[in-house]
This record gives sequence, C-alpha cells and structure tokens, in this order.
Amino acid sequence: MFGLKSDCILDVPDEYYTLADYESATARWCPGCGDHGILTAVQRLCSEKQLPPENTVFVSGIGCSSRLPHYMKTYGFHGLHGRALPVACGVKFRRPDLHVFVATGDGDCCSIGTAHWIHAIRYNMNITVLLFDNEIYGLTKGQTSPTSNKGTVSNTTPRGSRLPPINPIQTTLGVANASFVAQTVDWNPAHLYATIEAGFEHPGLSFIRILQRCPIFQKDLFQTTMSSPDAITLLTHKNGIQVDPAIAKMYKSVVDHDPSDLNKARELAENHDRQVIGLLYQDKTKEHYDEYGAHNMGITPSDKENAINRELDKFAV
Amino acid sequence: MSSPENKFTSLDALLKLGSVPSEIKYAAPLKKKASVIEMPVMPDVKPAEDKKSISEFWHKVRVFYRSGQTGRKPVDRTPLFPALLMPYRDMGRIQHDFPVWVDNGSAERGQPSVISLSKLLSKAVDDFASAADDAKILKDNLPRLEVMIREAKGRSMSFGDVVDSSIEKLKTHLKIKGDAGKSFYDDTEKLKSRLPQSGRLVTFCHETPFDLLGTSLQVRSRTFIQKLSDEVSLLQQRLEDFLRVERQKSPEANAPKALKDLYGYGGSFINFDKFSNVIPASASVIMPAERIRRIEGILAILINADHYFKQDSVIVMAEENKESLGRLFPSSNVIFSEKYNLCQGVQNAFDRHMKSMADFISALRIASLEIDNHYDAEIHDDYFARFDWKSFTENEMAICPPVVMITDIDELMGHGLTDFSKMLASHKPIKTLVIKTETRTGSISKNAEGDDFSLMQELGAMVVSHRNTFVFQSTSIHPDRLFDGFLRGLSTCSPALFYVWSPKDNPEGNPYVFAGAALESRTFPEFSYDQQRGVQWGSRFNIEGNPQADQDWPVYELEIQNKNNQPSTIRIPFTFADFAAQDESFAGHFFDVPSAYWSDDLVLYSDYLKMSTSEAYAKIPFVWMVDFDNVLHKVATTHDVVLFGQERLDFWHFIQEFGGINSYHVERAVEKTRREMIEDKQKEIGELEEAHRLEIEKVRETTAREAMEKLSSILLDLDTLPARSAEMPVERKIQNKVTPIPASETIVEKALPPKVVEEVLSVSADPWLDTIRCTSCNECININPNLFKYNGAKQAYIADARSGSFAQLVKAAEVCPAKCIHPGLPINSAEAGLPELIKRAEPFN
Repeated sequence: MFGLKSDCILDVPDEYYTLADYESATARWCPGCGDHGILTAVQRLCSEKQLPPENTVFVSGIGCSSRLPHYMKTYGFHGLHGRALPVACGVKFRRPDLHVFVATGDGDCCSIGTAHWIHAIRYNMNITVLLFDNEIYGLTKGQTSPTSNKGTVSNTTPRGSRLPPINPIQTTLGVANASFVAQTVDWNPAHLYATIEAGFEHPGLSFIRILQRCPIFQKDLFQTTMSSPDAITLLTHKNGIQVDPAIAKMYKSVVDHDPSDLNKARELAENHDRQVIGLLYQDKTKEHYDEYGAHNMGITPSDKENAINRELDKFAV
Repeated sequence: MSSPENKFTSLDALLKLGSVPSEIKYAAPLKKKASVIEMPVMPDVKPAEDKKSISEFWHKVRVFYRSGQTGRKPVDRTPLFPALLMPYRDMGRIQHDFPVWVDNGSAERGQPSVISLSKLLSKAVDDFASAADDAKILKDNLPRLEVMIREAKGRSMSFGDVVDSSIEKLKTHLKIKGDAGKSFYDDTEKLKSRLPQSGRLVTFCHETPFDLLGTSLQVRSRTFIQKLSDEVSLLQQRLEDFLRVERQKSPEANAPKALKDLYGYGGSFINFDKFSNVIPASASVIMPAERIRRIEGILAILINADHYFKQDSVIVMAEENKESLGRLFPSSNVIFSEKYNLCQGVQNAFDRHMKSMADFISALRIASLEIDNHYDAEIHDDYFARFDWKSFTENEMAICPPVVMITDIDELMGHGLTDFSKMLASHKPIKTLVIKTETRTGSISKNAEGDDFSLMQELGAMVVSHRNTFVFQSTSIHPDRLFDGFLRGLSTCSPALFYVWSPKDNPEGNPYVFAGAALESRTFPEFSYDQQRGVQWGSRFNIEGNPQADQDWPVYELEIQNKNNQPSTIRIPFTFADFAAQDESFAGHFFDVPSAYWSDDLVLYSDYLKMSTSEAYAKIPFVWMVDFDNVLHKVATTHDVVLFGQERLDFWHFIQEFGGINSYHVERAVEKTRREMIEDKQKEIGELEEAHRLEIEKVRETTAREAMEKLSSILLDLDTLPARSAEMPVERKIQNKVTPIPASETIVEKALPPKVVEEVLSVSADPWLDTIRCTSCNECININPNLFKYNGAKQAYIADARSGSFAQLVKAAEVCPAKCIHPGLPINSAEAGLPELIKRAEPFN
C-alpha cells in the first residue's frame, strides 16, 4: 500500500542485543568440536531475532552438548540425564511467552531420554530442539551410543558394535504429530544457521538433528563427508531451507524435496548410503498441546495457586 | 535453573520469572518476529440456524442497501477500519515517505532535493556498507535512529546538528562494547560524513504542497541564476570596454594628466605637457551620441540585474490566505488579491512582471547586438519598442521568475472557472496551484448525504481540454513525485495547473491515510498531461503514478490467520468503498454483517460492480474491515456507494484510455489485425492441405500402379525389378560432398597421443580465510588474536596478516577443523624455518 516499505514497522524495542549480549562463559569443548559452531549459530539467531535474554530459555540434559546453556547469557536449565525435553515442555506449557530451546545429544535424547523424545514430538509444543549427534558418548570418554554405526569400536564395544544404529530422523518421522524434521551439519555454518532459523520460525516443535564432529572420540567419522560434499544430498525446495546459491553449489547431489511429502521424507531418511541435509518434513497445521494449558482456558496463575492451596488445606492438621 | 546474571538456581525461579500478570490470556503461541504487523483473524463462522431470523436479517440488509436505514443508531456501530488500511492505524509505528528531507541547494551538488528520511539514511549506509553483513548493528538500528531524528526535529537546529545529536543519543542508548562497539562507532562516523549538514525535515500536513512548491521555486531559481549572472557580467564588461574606447577618442584623453595616468613608473621620465602637445588628435570615428546613450541605458539595466531576480517568483493568492499561507514563501514576491477576482489579479501581476522582465531581456538582446555591431536603429528601435513576453524565446522565458496563482478548488469552481478558462486560453504562462482540502468522502459529491447523486467535477480533465496547459494532478502523499511535478510544470513555457488533494487535519481521521486512500481507490487518480512530450495526444499522458495502473482497482494480498491460527491469504482490491469506509461521515452507508449471517449473497464490492443486473439480483456488496481486536468483518454497503464507485471507475477508465491502457481504438485495431492474420493463416493452411492432399493422391496412384506392375511381373515370371514407366518419379540421389582427408594428415592424427590438459592451479600469495566456512571454534583466535578476529557473525577473518608470523598461519591452518585457513606464502622472508613451513602450508593452499 501507499508509502509503506517492505519492512515498514518502526517498532524499536528499548534494548538492542548484539551477539556479545548472549555470550557467557568461554566454551570448554575440545578444540575442533562441532559444538562451537552450533553455539555461534544460536547466538547469532538470538541476536538476529532480538530475543530478550530474560525471555529466552535453553534447556539441556547431560552430555557434552548439554553444556550449551552454560555458555548462553539467557535463562538456562541443565537438567537430569534424558530429561531435557520434559523440562522444556513444562517451561513452555507454563510460560508460552518464553522462547524455549533444547540442546540434547544422541545419548541424552536417543538412549536414556527416548520415551520423553517420542512424547515431546507428539506434544508438538512450540520449542526448538537441537540434537547434537556425534554418534558417541564424548563426556564419559567414548562409549557407543544408540546412533553409532554398526561396528563402532569404543570402550563399551571393543570388538565393534553389533546392532544397527537408531536413525533419529527416521524415528521422529514415525511419531504421530511430528511437525518439523530437519537435518544439518555443524561444518556448514550457513546451512546450520538457516536450518535453526527455520526451526525457530516453525509454529510447533522443530526437531533438528545436527551431524556433529567429535575430534577426539569419533575423529574419522565425518572426515569423508566433510572433505567430499558428494557424500551429502542437499534438499532444496521453495518451502524448505533457504541458503545462498553459492552454498548450494557446493553439493553435487541436490534433490528438490517438498517438505509436505511425508512418505518421500521417510524414503530419504531410510537411505543409509548418503546423508541428506535440509528440511525433510514440515506441517504447520499439527495440533499443539501447549494450547490446552491452563493459561488458554481462562485460568490465571493465581486461580491455580488458590485451587492447589484449597486442596492442600484440606489435609492441614 | 539460571537467570541471565545468576545462573542455575531453581525451577521455582523459572516459574516466577518475569512475574506474569494474573489477568493475561496469551494469544496463540506463534513465534513472531518482534516487528511485524499483527495479522487479521478470520472469525470462526457458525451459521445461524433459525431460518426465520435469517430471513428477517436479510430483509433488513436489503432494506439497508436501498435506503441506508438499518434501524440502528450510529453510536451502535463497532469501530471498524478497512482491512488493507490496518497498518496505518498507528502512524507512529510505520515507516513511510514522511518526514522528507528538503534542501533547496542540494541540486547544485547533484543530490536529490527531496528524499524521504528513511531513504536518505539507508542510502547513506549502503554507500559504505553494501554487503548484507556490513555495518550490521547500524543497519539494525536505522529505524531507531529514524525515530530519534523524528523526535529531535522541530527544534531550532540544522539538519546536521539533529543528525549528530541523534547519533550520539543512539550510541549512548545502545552502549555497545568491545570490538562490536568500536566498529559500530566507526560506522556512525561514516554515516555522519555521508549525510547532509544543511536542509530541513518536512512532515506530512496540509501545507506540504506549499512547502514543496516553495522549494521547487528556489531550486529552479538557483539552477539558472549563476549561469545568467556569468552571462550578464560578460556582456557588461564588453559594453564597458566599448565606452572606455570611446572615451579615449575624446580631446580630454590627450590632456597631460590623462596621459600621465596611463603610465606607471616610467612616467617620471616624461614631460607630459610637451608630450600632450605633440600627440595628434584621434583619427577614429566618434560613436554617435544616440548609440552611447543606448549602451549606457542597457548597462544601467544589466548592472542592476539582481533587482530583477531578487525574488524567485511572483505569487498571487486571495487576501483571506494572507495569514495562513503568506509566510510560506519567504523568497517570493507575494501579492494578495481579491478572492472573487483572483484570475484578473494574477494576470495584472503577470503583465507588470513581464513588462519588467521584457526590459531586462531586451537589454540582453540589445547588448548582444551592440557587441556584434549589428544593431540597426531603423529595424531594432521599432522592434524593441514593441518588445514584450510574447517575443521571448524558450530560454528567455525560462529565466523569468514564474508567476504563480494559489487558490482552492471551491473558490475556483465556485466563481472563478470562466475567468480561469479565459486565462489559460490567453496562453500566458501563469502557473496555478489548486488545492483540494476536503477531509470527508461525502464532499466528493455535494449531494452525497442526500438523495440526489451528482458526478464529481474534474478540474484536471477540464483543463486538459484547453490542450495548451501542463497538468499535474495528485494527492500530497508522494513528496518526490509532487516535487518532480512542480519542477516540470514550472519549466514549461506554457500555463501549468497543479491540482493537489492535500486534506486538512481532521480530528475524525488521519489526513495522510485519507490522501493515500484517495489515490489508491481511484477516487483522485494521479496523472500528468505535458504537451511538450509529443505531438500525439497519447504521448502527453502519464498515469504511472497510480498503483497497478492497468487494473480497475489495485489488488493486494492480505495475510490473515484462519480460525485454526494458521496463516492464510486473501486478495482484496482497494476500491472506492474501502476509501469511503474509513470516513466517519460515510458511516451510515456501511453495515456490519455478523458472521452468523454470512452467505453467498454477500459479494465482494469489486465483483459486485462487474455483475450484470440479473447477476446482481439479491446480492449485497461488502468490503473487508477489521475491528480493534483484528477480527475481520464483512461490511455491507448501500446502493449509493455502488453508484459513487461506478462513477469513479468510469472516470478511471477515462484516464486509463488516455494513458494507453484498454484503449478502445487500439483494442479494435489489434482485434482486426488478429482476425485478418487468422484468416490469412487459415487460407494458407487450406491451400497447403489441398496441395498435400493432391500429393498424397498422386503418390497413392503411383504406388498402386507400381505394385500392380510388380505383381504382374511376378505373375508373368518376368524380371523382379519393375520396369520404370515414363510417369514414375525419378529417384534422386543426393551425394554428400566429402572432402578427402590427406592420408598423411590422418596418420598424424592417429599418431597423436590423447590430449593432456594440464590444470594450472594458482596459489594466492596472500593468506586468506574462507570466512563463510568458519565454525567459530576459537582455535585460530587462541593462536593469535591480532592476526585472526571474529566478524559480526562470530566467524573468523584475517585482520592483519603482518601482525603474526607465517608459522602461526600454518599452525592455525593445520588445527582449523573447518580447513578454511589458507596461509599463502610468507610475507617476511627472514622468518626462521621457512622452507619447512612452506611445505607444511602447501596442502592448505
């Protein structure tokens, strides 16, 4: 319309947050660890979206990945092993106005936390879940994880692991009410950022598996994938992850995949020969469990507190 | 649980953080960018079930459509706003073309004289930070700076001071520290140096067109005054030389004192009394006294040239406007005339002004003739005695400060139209600014509130019919286009009309929205007619200033939320009804239809106007509006609004045809040509088909005969080959010309080994870092924080290659997990262990 610019709003919040406003302690991950790049990407996202630190929460469980809340100058919750998702769901359920992120690892999410993972996907609350998948337990110095490739030699499987790995993407796509499933890699900062941004913008639970290097206990795992972009298939689509064409050109194998096509997404996830990166599936119309919280039913926090007190008073001596 | 400052306390702290007000009901938990316009929400439609109540309601709506009566008091009406105008409800929040920065001297510096503040700022930043990530903090905060400048304006400070103080305020407000802060402060300095120091900010108001007219008069004046001044000085000097030479011819020039004055130091050795006696009297012809008087006369005019140009224009307006408008033209000669006789007043002023200008222009012309010695008294005395503005060339007319009449549409249409028409017909190049100030839709027709319906009088179209007058019609919402229109009109040698709708401040509505909506809805379309653009009628019109000029109404996509809070899009044309719907005085023509009664009989207003009478039967037109909760409403209109809309659409079609869109004659010619082409093609196809059919028949006959002959031969045990009959088509053999390859060449070719292409990879001698691939692991920064630094996105780059050793570069390249550091070749050839380091660097180059 007349006189309006494309980004025409002059709403200027009182505060302006630079990247430094989200930086807390110096990250103590090993040199060369992929987690550094993920940390930078989320700090950039927070600054780009100007998320007030006091309205932003990073929740984690246990593991190398779960140290991330320590390095963010926002609210943080370093939870019990495997319980990052239920804590995050609780926070979101009670405080839907907060921006909730989850940092979890392949052990935290896909092993001890599997039950919570499945239900959090089904709840589809508006949170952004980052699965740091280095296919090893790094914090405890190298044990096979549920996502380790068959034959992985580690402290717990000195003769090589016997079972095929869980594919977190495949698993998530099989859960009812999944609404956003994407995969990216830590060594492509542009794609990593664009994927996390798309997940943040998604109105529901965005599940992002990040293939992440562990230079100590899985030194060679992604070497081939890193040095040979042919080993990766890039998913593109007008409704998918949008990256600079120069970045897209790095990949020779490019597939135009409509993220609304669940069956095709499952097919792509099942291909173990070649990793895919991009948005596999998205459906913005899925139900959100957090909409049924007390706050959306006209019950105020004080109403709730009074009701609990009334009930407890019945047992008072 | 942690807080930003005090980390990891308890879950209880999280549940209490920010102390949620107990009454808050959160909206749908969509993640939203902080700065977006809220989406309108489509209501959940639950159709009414009681058939009787539906029938009664629709009866009421149909009565309303015809009569405008609803039985409801106006006070019952829910405050609604046209859906497409929703962003303008809070003008303080949106960025638009105002305020504009205006400077009458900037044209000399090659800059635009009128530019919106937001464009001025973003242009200045783009000048030194064109890449998306450059000066990011400053770019992110340009809206904040714009708000600060907006708030600071109005004080008695120059634009440069306003910018400086606002930037300081911004720096203090943001308090950005560290490297990010340093680069931000550097960027603000660069911005300052690229913003003008002079000029002023103009906000949108009723007086904006006057302000911009005043500026355009000053800009116009400045563009030619220096050039004219140089020309006048030259003429003056040449004429003075003439007179000086003439004085040398007089006996007084040989007087001892005069001779002494001619000499310098050497004069002390000469006896000028004796010298004077021996010098012969001048042999030159003496200039006639009449010519000397003429030259002295024009010299007197040229010396006083400033007198003719001390004011950039002559402005004539009614006495009544003395208080309100007189002060707006400080550099003009403002004359006040009687309201009822304004056209005569301006013509009188024009005659006086042009008489004075004729004196000056004739002085210029005579000066040129005298210098070239071409002045012939017999011819030129009479010519210059009758010299007036009609004798001016285009260039001469262009240097004359223009005469401008300022009036208002009601005054002109009320009692001055005849005089105005006569004035235009006289071809006097008087410029007229006519302002339309209404702030009510009802006033577009005097009978809008009554039963009668009348057409809107179109001054612009009327003046176009005079053919000789430049016309520019628009509203005042686009300052750059308005300014450009003024400049173009002022530069023509013909009369000009500027017809501008500039609504007065109105407590019931926003004049900016009103003016904008008038243009968008075709209620007051923008067009210009410039007879200098071509001899053909169509070439003189320009309607490009209208949004989506090829459409009946501009159509916009509105993003909404449906009942499930999912984003969706509806297409909404901005029509006359949408324009009228934002006007409180037209409230009686709109009726909010509750969603329970929405049905297929409610038809979008623009679609309704396209319907035939039979199609429109039982249908009611509606427009989309929103309430203060952003819920969409379908609002029915009356028949009067339909009539007004049809009338405006009819005028728009009239303007469109002039602009070359949907031209009846063009479309007819295109259709005729298309028809002829189709006929020709069909004829050609028919001929080809006939030729094809004949050929097939011929081949069929020949083949049949050949087969029969072959069969006969077999049956008769003759030669298996058919005899060639005289009618048989002769077989054609086409031989490809093959150039034989010399044997030796072939051998050489075969003997050659496969061509080996050697790829020569160039290695950069300078170290470089592929920043886009950096994963921010800190490894290189830890090696040397001066050599490597992080950019705004916390990705590393080589800040200063000389601040570290080649060994550090190589080490960093080796430990970099992303392998994005390329050490190049050593800068310092004296560094120890270079051969080994160069070898180690090789894999990374």
